[in-house]
Amino acid sequence: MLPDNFDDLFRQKLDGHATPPAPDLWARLALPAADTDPVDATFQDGLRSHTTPPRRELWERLEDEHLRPRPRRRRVVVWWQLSAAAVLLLMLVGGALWSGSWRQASTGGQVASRGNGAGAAHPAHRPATELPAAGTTAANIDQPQAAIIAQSQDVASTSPATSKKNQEIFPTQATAPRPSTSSTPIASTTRPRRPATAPQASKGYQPQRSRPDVATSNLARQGGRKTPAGQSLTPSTPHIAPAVTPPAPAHEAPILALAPATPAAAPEIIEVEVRRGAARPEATPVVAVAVAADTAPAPARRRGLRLGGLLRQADRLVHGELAEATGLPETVTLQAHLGGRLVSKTIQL
Amino acid sequence: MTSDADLIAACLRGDPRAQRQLYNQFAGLMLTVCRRYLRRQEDAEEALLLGFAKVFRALPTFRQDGSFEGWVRRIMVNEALMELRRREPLHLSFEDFAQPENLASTPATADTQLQAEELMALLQELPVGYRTVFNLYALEGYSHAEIAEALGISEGTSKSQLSKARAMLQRRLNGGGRPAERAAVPMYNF
Repeated sequence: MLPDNFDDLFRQKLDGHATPPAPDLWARLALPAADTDPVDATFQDGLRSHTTPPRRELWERLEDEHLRPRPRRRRVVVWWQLSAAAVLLLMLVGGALWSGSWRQASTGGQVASRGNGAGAAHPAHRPATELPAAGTTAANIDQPQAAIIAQSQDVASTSPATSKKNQEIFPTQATAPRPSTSSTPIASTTRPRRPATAPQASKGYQPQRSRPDVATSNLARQGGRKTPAGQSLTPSTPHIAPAVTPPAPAHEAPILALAPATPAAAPEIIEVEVRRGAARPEATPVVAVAVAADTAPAPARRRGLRLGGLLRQADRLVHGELAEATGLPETVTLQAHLGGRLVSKTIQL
Repeated sequence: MTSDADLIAACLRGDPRAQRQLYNQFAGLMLTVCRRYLRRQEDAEEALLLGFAKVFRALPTFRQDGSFEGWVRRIMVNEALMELRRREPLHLSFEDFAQPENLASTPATADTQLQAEELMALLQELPVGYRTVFNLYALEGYSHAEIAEALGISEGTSKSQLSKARAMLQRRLNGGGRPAERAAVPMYNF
């Protein structure tokens, strides 16, 4: 028999022949899966079509945050622009304040008289008539130091003990005690409002550059201000005006009038140190030393810190710390060596 | 009623109505998926949100040769796992009672009558390691190798976690008390 015949034979006999599976095999095939755990099956069946309706806000969030975020981006861009403009404005304001004080400090001349000017503009400061009492004229000191000196002069002269000593040391200066008593109420009433009055001090610097006589202008300004009854400032004006160092040109070399303004007291050397912080001379840095030494490096150093100071001032302005923006420290210690005596005073600004 | 292909094409054109329809079609189902992995509802919603954002972003890469629902579900599972890592540090725990050889294999009978929310509650009471492995293996169909790769664990750990999860669920389904194994010993953080 040929092999082809065998092939045909088997094909004919077996083609289409069905072999039904055994019942146990059918039972096994009917199960979902041979190795499916019943617990798995329970959860699969129970959770297969289970849905949890999401909250309505979810679609809105999806649209706003992911599908169509362009309007939001525009809003962000607008906010960025507004923020940048606000920062720029603050920097300009801070820079204007700072440059005004910088120019004030760097023009040279009578810092003490300017300090008096600032004091006149500042309600807490005393008029220039107190300058001889403090007996210090520092030149070429930057604005914060000038302000500190002005304030320290203020406090030193308002202190009765200091005034008394000054009277003893400089008996010829009869004008010193009087203004100090006259302006003490002003200082005492306005000192608690330091943050509010600090900008006035900074404003007061600029007009002073054109004033020929700070003392008179200060007094004139004070004349317009409410002063306590019975306290007249005008009588002291003729005595004080000559005592204050006359206004010098800006280019003039700074003269540190350590001696009292009265030329007759020249042999006495008065050394005034103004320090930041409490009265710890060895630990606290000297803010301004009004001795017969040149303090010119201080402005040069500040020039290097110009940008940083500007940013700090802007930051402080943002936070509403106007007084701090002007560079005034919290506490200032004033030490004056008056003819062998050491007068120390700590001022809480 | 549009097919998935038409819906996808419309979404690719940026049609907002098609996007909304796709979301409505799958959001409920996928939120259940996310809730199975994450205990807190807000975490599950966050995973759903991020998952749908990924779905719409990756829609151009979807090849039409497979199930669209399966593709979406896989994205959601991945997103839920990522959210799980952020929200619940995954502790894989071991208990003495739950050795695989001690497990009873009694079939659940009346348990199948449980409502879906009760099953969800049972799942959410599992320790996070048990829950994650059980979800991935029993409900999503991942293999142990895939689970090990996704979670950064070994296949043996995956099998062990699955066995313990099943044992705990079975005890709960059979009316067992709250298991003492809730005080689990953390073994892996990932």
